[in-house]
Amino acid sequence: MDPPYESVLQDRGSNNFFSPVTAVSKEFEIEVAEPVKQGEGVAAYVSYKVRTKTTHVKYHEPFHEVTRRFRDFAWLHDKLVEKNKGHIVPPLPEKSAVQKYQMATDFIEQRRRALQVFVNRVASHPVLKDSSELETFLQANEEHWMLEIAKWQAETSAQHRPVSAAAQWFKNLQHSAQSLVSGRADEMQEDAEYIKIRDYINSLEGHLTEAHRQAGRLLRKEADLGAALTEFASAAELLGKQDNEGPMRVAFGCLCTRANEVAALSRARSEAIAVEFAAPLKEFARTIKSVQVAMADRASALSAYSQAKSDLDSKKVRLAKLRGTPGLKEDKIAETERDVNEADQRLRNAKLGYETIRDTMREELNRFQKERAAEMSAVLRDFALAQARNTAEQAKGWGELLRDLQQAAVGGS
Amino acid sequence: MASKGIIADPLRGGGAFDDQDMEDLTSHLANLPAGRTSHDGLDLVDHSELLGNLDRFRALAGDDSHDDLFVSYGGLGLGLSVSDSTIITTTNYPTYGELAAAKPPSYEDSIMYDQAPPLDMHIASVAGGDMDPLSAGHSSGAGPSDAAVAARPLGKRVSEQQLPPAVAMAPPGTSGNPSWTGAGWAARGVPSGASEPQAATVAAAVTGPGVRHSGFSTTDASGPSAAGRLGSLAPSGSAALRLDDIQQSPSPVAHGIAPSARHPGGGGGGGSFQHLSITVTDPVKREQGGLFGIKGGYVTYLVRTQARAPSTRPETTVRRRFREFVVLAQLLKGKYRGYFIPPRPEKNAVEGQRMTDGFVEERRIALERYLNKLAQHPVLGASEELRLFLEVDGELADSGAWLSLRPPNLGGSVLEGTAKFSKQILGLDRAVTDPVQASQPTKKATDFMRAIKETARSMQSPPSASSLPPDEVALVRAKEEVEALQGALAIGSRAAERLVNGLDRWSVVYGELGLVLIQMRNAEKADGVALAHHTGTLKQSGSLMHDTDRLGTALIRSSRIGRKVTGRCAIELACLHEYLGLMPAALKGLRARDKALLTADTVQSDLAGRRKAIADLEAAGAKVLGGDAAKAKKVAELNGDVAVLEQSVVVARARYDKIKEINQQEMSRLRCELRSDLLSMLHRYASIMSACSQRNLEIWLQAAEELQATKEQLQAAKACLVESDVHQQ
Repeated sequence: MDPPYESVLQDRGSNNFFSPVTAVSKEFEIEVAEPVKQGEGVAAYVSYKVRTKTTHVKYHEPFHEVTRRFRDFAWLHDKLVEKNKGHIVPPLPEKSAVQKYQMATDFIEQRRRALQVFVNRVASHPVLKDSSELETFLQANEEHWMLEIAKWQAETSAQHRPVSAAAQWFKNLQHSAQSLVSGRADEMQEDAEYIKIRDYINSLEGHLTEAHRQAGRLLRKEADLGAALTEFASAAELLGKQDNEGPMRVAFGCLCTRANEVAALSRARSEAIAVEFAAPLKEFARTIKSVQVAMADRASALSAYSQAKSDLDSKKVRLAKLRGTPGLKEDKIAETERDVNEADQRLRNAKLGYETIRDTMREELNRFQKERAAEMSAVLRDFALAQARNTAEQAKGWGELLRDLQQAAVGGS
Repeated sequence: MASKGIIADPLRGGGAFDDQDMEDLTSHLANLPAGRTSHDGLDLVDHSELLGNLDRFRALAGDDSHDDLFVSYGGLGLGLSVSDSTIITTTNYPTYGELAAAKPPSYEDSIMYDQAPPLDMHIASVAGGDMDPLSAGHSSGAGPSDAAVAARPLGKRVSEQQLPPAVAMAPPGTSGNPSWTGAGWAARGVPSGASEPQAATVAAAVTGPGVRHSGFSTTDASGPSAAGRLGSLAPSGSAALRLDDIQQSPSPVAHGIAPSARHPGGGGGGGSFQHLSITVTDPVKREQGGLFGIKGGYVTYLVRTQARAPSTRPETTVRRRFREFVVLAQLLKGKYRGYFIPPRPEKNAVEGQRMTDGFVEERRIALERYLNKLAQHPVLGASEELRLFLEVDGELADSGAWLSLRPPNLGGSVLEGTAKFSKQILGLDRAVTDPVQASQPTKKATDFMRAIKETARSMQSPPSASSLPPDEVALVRAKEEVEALQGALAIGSRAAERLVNGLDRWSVVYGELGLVLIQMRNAEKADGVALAHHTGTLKQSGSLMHDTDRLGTALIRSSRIGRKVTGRCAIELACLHEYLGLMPAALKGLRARDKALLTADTVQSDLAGRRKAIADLEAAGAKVLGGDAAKAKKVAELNGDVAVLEQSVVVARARYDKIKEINQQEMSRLRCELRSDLLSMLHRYASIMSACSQRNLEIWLQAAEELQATKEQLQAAKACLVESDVHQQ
């Protein structure tokens, strides 16, 4: 099976990493466009037009256009994560309070591209593309949408984070107390292979983050070099003017022209690296985070499974004790038996939940691997190609300078 | 699966990325100075840190032992349009010392230095003429170079034969200058008649410092001795003029802000004048028990001098310490007024730092460059000071010949100066500038009266451009030119430093990104297998390994190229830095002429004042009959003063003319050398950058190919180069 949204990267235009996807085989083509700043001050936000062209059977019309803001994309993401345990939900770009506040143009453009990648990745995911959440996100009119958002906000504030976190902690504590009492360590452990995978994914995140950071430095250095070259070019021109007669004036004039050309190349290269290299690396690192979310889901499913098991065990022990105690009421035993049955049911559910996640993850990891390899390959290849193009242009510039100088020398004598 | 990763590099013949490379890079990263290793530190643009970093790059470039950067670019069959000759200039790159010692071959050479031999003669003769009194005793010894030895007799001969014309030929601009008429010309004529024999006797008699000293230092120096002095000064100018007439330099560069540009090539030959290669090596620390337990000590350096071309000059090696360099610089500064003397390396005030290895190495490089710069100078290179410095065994302070070079201490100490000044104020000692003093620069510390007078003089008559002779105007403009040049060089040097820093950091980041990718490869190899097995994606894992490995390798290779280029650019662009350093010396040289002119003017006005006083007294005496004896005595005294001053005026004028001559020569030499050095710097810089981008292009094309780019994509990537080639053909 071809990775379904490989085309996000591969079918793009020659230059633009995140340009709208145009593959024929795809069910969705989604464009995030026209970022417009709305409001002022702290409450300011940017709205985007989300334009969809689709052949999906669930959609009645082939074209849709809605207005969405970052928060709305976050809705889609959170809903998908919530409802699709074990799936690697494409990552959202980071929420950056500082940068949002500044609302710099290049930041907005960067985010627009990242959001477009996000929503296209969702739309090409084998499972998520069929989700009702995506449908709502892409189609819902203003009224309907505001309702959804209001509901969501009410929910999230109801299960306010600190509370749920405390509850989770308490639950865990209970669980470990139970294991302590029962005198066993968690016997439900992931198999060794999965643990290795988990460790690998975790280390990969570090590597990718570092690679992205270095790519960011690279593009800054490239721009710095361009600026230094520009400065050098004008300094050289000034120096050339000190020579009242021809030779130096001409030669340093040539240098100035050519160095400015090369400096412009460096600047352009710096911008291209940002879009074509640093941004994808960043996205890879974010995707790893999504994988980690899925892994956390799996861990908590396992923990629930384990908990259910020890719960059942302790209930069974109690039942056995009751049974062994003479002169107890039958209904007490019946009640405990019911408890055991319930616990058994819970255990089965938990087991099923865990196993579903496990199987889902196997598939998802397979997909992740294939996409990752293909995308990485494309990004690295294009980086090398762009470097080659850039250095060829530079070589041309310097070569021309050499020729200029020789001509000037010949002409001068 | 990973077999693709071990594709042999067609350019190096060797393997691709190996452990050696890794070590190389890691050690480079580790060896960066503090503040640069940290990633974040790199991003702070600390300007103060950038300043003065060039030396570090020089050192960085110095250990560049790989010569594989600019190998021919046959690898990928790129049609290269850069001609072979330009590549050759970058392959056998000279070391720093060589670079400083010799004008490297460049396309300028054939144009600029065609006339080198006659120019050498000319300059040597100037030097020879100037130094006759002193070098007469040494001329039998090994001269600094063959050319100098050969030229010296010529200079002598000219100096003896051409004396009268020398005076006659004196400044062409003088006739139009009112201050030069009358007495000036008369005074000039008197000693010139006697000067020929006098010059000879002085030249013959003065062999030791004592003799010379006594001959000049008496306050009421007589006419003949002044004339002798003049004689020793004048011929150098005349010799220069005569030889200049013979040389019609075909230099393509028509220059001459000065209207009297009769020696256009006068400076151009300087670069190849002294074919000496001087190396400073092997610093040895000498510990000395300092006072109060402070560890003292000094470092001596081995100074080795070789003739660049085969010659009779034997190789000499001496040990010198920094203090001796300081004395050399002082001697040159004192004696060669008006010359643009290359600046001596700075002293280091911080005692504790002086003995550190880093500092010693830095100073060693700086001293080597300094000596080579001196040796390149047409006059300083042939100077007795430098010759002795390079040849005398043992400590210079123990050498009689060296000590004899120390300037006569005219005017005495500060204490004497103070005593004299109080007398001058009281009128007990009439402040008349004698001819010997007039030939020396004003010593503000010891001759207050003269300094005050000259200051007053400079206040009352600001030289207006119209009243100055044209060659003086040209030199005044030359000063402005040098100042503008200094400004431009300062900007250029700073920009060059930023550029080198930018290149350095750029290549460091490339290397670091490469390392990250290589680490990713390693992680994939070691730990990714589990995931690959689990999901059945071994193929993908393999391609990930291959791709990250290839790109990482390309980045690291590109980084290595970048580091080499950084080093070479640092060397090339240091040229700007050097000329910037020379500018203050040039300004100083030009100021020396201003001062000499001021002295001459002051003496002149002194003379005029006394003449007027005599005339007044005599006029008064004519009216008052039987003028008293006191008045007669006063007139007699004044007449004595006038006689001395007349000679002083001549000497001061001659001194000024001489310095003017030197200034003109030095200016045209500076212009020529600057032009030729900067042009060849520019040319080499362009060659380096061109070669660098060619190499990078190969690296990236290869990487793109290994990363499965299609042929069309590869073609498109280098399309612009191919186009421009077609265009060229």
